[in-house]
Amino acid sequence: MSESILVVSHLRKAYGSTIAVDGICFSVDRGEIVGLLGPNGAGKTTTISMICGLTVPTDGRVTVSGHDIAAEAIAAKSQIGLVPQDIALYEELSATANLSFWGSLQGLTGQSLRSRVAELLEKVDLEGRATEPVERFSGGMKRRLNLAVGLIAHPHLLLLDEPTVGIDPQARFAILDIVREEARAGTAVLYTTHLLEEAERLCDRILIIDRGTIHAEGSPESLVAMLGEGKVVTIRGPFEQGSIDPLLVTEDGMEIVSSQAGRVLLSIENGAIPALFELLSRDEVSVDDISVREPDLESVFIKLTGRQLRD
Amino acid sequence: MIEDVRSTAPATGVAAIYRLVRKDLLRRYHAPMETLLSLALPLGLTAVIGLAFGGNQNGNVSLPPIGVAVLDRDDSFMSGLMAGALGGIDGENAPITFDVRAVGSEDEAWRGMREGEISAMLEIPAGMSDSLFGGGTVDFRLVRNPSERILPEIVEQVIGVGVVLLSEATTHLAGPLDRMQAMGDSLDAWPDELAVASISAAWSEELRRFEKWVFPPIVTLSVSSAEDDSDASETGPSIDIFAYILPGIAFLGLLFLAAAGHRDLFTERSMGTFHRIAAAPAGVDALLASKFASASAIAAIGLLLLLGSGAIIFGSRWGDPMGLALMVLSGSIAASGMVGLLYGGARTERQAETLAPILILSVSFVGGSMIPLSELPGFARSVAPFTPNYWLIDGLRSLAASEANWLGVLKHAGVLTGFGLSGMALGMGLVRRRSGSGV
Ligand SMILES: Nc1ncnc2c1ncn2[C@@H]1O[C@H](COP(=O)(O)OP(=O)(O)OP(=O)(O)O)[C@@H](O)[C@H]1O
Ligand SMILES: [Mg+2]
Repeated sequence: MSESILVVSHLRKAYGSTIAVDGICFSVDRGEIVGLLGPNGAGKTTTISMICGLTVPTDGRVTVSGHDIAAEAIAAKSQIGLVPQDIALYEELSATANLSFWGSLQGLTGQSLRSRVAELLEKVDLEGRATEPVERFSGGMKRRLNLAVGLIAHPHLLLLDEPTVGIDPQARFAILDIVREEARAGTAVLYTTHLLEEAERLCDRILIIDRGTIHAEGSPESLVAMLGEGKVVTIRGPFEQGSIDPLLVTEDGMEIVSSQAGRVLLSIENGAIPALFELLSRDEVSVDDISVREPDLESVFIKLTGRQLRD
Repeated sequence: MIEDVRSTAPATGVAAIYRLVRKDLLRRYHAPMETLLSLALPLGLTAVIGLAFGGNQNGNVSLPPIGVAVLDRDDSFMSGLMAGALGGIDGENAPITFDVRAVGSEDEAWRGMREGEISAMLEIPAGMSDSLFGGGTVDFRLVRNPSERILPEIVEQVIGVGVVLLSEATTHLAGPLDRMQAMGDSLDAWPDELAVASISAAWSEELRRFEKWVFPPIVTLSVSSAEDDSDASETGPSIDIFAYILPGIAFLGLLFLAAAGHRDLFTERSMGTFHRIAAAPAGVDALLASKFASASAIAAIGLLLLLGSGAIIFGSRWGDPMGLALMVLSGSIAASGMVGLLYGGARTERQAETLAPILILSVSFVGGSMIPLSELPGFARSVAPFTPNYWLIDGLRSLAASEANWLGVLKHAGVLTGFGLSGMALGMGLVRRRSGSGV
């Protein structure tokens, strides 16, 4: 039986006329890694901020292990480990001093604090640099420490806001490994990213968010399955939006996923590819490029939102 | 379930504030330059001033007036005002007095120097008012009596400080001055615009680096006649010169230390740690309260170090230890509360940074940190008790002069604590209101 640690219901945030988050609902279970996948400005950080009580929602509700973040702030917050998008550490203090401070704020003291700090320094591979001021750390080292701070008090809910931004692949894999390990130990993880590969590799379930709305939800496989069994074909060329759509829908086994000026995405049955080429040459559609690939999250994202994750 | 390894509940309330303050102090300890500088300068100033007057360890001091010749080539309302300001330094409580003598030529000044009556000559250049207000620069000239060393130094320092303040005023008061100019069009003497003036570029540059810390503690800039200089030379303060100078300077230093403590809130915002703490069980209120507490703690440590150094270096005695403890504690709370209110009310860091020196300097001016109260005009004297400076200075001086024990300064401590706590309550309220929809 699954046990929901985080329950988000009808959460909404308006900044004047900007709707940053538009009534989203989802939950994260114990031991589950849920990805919040969306482009810049989708509302990921705003969602995280409301979950941990930093931003007061315009509407809606958040509970953490059953505690309402607004009404029972202390009980709810004490379950949360936050890893903010922007590194939040004291540059003049050492890694040990940083961890000790954040741990003490979560109520760890004495020997249990010391041993937890040591354990985490080892986990993020910073034992060798533990006493150096953080200002001398590289970007990747700071990211790792930033993550360790979020883990210090064994949170039941771990909120990670793009924790791998701006670091090399090795440090990124290290971070993903640690997150997986935490989830295996039972932590509920909400992981925001605009990187498909990360979401696909890491997450049990993905929420596709854009312009404050969740457009789809499911495991990476089930999301990809939305595009059917066939292939995904992208046609690029100098055509207007919608100008070649009527042509394409006449054919069986083809479905337009998204159509924009200069780019049309099709989901196509395996056997129908030759027919597509025939169609295009018969009508003398001017085409710059055609690519055929297996359905993937990127295509799902384009189908759902009409735009790409990274432009 | 996940095992709960916490030995205690998450830190909230006082426990959280304690941990936050400890973190702030640790950070200061690891990056101590700003704090040390804040302490070194008031101390250095006190030393220069005190030693210059031959402060004999604990003895009472009574200073001869320093002869200054003013060669006024400008002969305007403004230049008259300046000469008058120098000459107005007198009265029973002023540690230094100037004997200002108008001279008609440089030769006349040299004669005075040879006779040992004049320590320095200040030449106010022709056209000074015009260029001061018309956007040009002004070069004052200071000629020191070559046969004296310390007294001309004092003159130079005092005037140098005046110049820095003048430059400060130019930068900060440009707007109001523009308006005054419009009003004063009918007055010939009033100017277009105030500009930066400098006596000597080097001096001014040097001082500018420390301008936050430089204030004219030894000058009384009230305009009055210098006739009664004979009286002034006979009546000195009844406590030692350092104990007399230091409290005023120390509290100014304290205010700037407290400002550094409160500025840290903006630093934490830009570092992202503000949000991280706000997301922790401790929450925003504990964070804000901790900044007041940290600023008080830093101010208290600073004041103790200043007074302690005063005792060690200058042999000053601060009187009843219990009374001293009360003053240090309440004075630090007052400094933190007052500055915290300003930082809480400011919309941006820049606004706070611009307003802080102005507020601190003007409150300190009115409160008697720079000029002995007895020298201030009547209205200022009636305003002074509304400044924390007044109470701290008065309390510390009466302790140092053994006029009071701790019971005698209880009232001072109470008023100071009241200043501090109300500043804190208001300041926190302002920050809270501004970040009403989250932080
Ligand atoms: N404090 C604020 N005031 C006004 N608008 C805001 C504020 N915070 C966020 N927004 C707006 O809300 C929208 C969502 O922003 P948010 O930071 O949540 O996006 P994001 O998905 O985290 O993006 P990124 O990938 O760039 O971090 C954006 O349009 C943003 O401009
Ligand atoms: Mg974001």
